[in-house]
Amino acid sequence: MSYGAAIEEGSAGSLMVVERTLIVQLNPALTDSAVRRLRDVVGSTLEAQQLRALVINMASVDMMDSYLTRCIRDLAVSARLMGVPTIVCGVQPAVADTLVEMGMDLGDVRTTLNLDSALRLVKQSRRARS
Amino acid sequence: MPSDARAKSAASGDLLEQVMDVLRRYVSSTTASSAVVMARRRTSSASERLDRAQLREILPSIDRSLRLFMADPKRVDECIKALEVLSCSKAEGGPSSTIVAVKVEQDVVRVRNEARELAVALGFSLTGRTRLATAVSELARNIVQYAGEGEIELKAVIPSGLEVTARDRGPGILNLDEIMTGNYRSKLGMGLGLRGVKQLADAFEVNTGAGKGTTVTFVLRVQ
Ligand SMILES: Nc1ncnc2c1ncn2[C@@H]1O[C@H](COP(=O)(O)OP(=O)(O)OP(=O)(O)O)[C@@H](O)[C@H]1O
Ligand SMILES: [Mg+2]
Repeated sequence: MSYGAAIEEGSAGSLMVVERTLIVQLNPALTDSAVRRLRDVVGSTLEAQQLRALVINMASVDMMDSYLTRCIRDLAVSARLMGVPTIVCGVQPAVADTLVEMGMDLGDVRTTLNLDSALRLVKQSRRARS
Repeated sequence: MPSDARAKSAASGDLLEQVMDVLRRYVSSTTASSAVVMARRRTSSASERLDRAQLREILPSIDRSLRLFMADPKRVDECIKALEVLSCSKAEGGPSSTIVAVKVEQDVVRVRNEARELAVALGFSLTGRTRLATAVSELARNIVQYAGEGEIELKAVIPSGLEVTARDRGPGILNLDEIMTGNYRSKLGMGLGLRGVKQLADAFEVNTGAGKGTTVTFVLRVQ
């Protein structure tokens, strides 16, 4: 599968747009300011481009604490306010286990097992709409 | 060994048994004991008991043997690190501990990686490691956000688990009861950090008050 060219590289992760879907790949070992920078870049990308969906891939993230969880949730909520649906994918089982145990969750954000199923879902809902 | 003597050595956490426990996570029982026997024969540590100094002495030899039997050098490093943890314990049977200063954001990442490594060495599962790293991250971030600076001590409680203590001399937490019962709305966060750590931990304690700073201690058993 071709993902098109990366638009922006940052220490928090990388961004790319494929068929008007913004895919954010988060890196492991994120600092808070790296997450904040990423959030800003994603926000302005959403604003500048006519996007259909935002996909956040958590596959390389080895822990989600309350801060990161909140950032992801906020990102999804503000994308939705801008009319862009968000899918979070690839949360590792141990990470999901810890979130549940701590009493945290991602709210009503859509989640899928991996990137492929997220992209499939984007395609399906696009077809459903047209 | 008579069975009552065996029971006693297990109860007192016999070092040789602990070394074998670690090795058996990586190689077969037979390979583990031959690696130890060979290493002890090469050095002069042939007495019945193994002490920490002797373990340090035979580590290079065990390292060489493991490399013959294990394909993945990273796994060998991990195993040797686990044995080093056993050999570094301060007093015979006592815990080994690391203190990490916490002041800036990068320290949050540093201390949780440190915790993760120690957890690998102690035989925590991936889930256990993730829980530990997450809990450490919450406490480290609280230090940076609310106290400005402090430290986190990671203490291996061999063989059972890890004790984490986060200490600072910040303003203290004035409404701890409210926070722990979940009736608290945080300005900066979700107000879930401390409660989350408590839920993850096998034991949890907060000592705080205006003017005396905050100390949070939790224990996570090997899981
Ligand atoms: N080390 C500390 N020193 C002083 N106050 C603290 C300390 N740790 C926590 N607090 C206080 O306790 C409150 C609750 O902390 P907790 O970590 O549970 O939630 P939070 O930091 O507000 O949000 P979250 O952790 O979910 O992002 C904080 O808002 C802060 O007022
Ligand atoms: Mg907190």
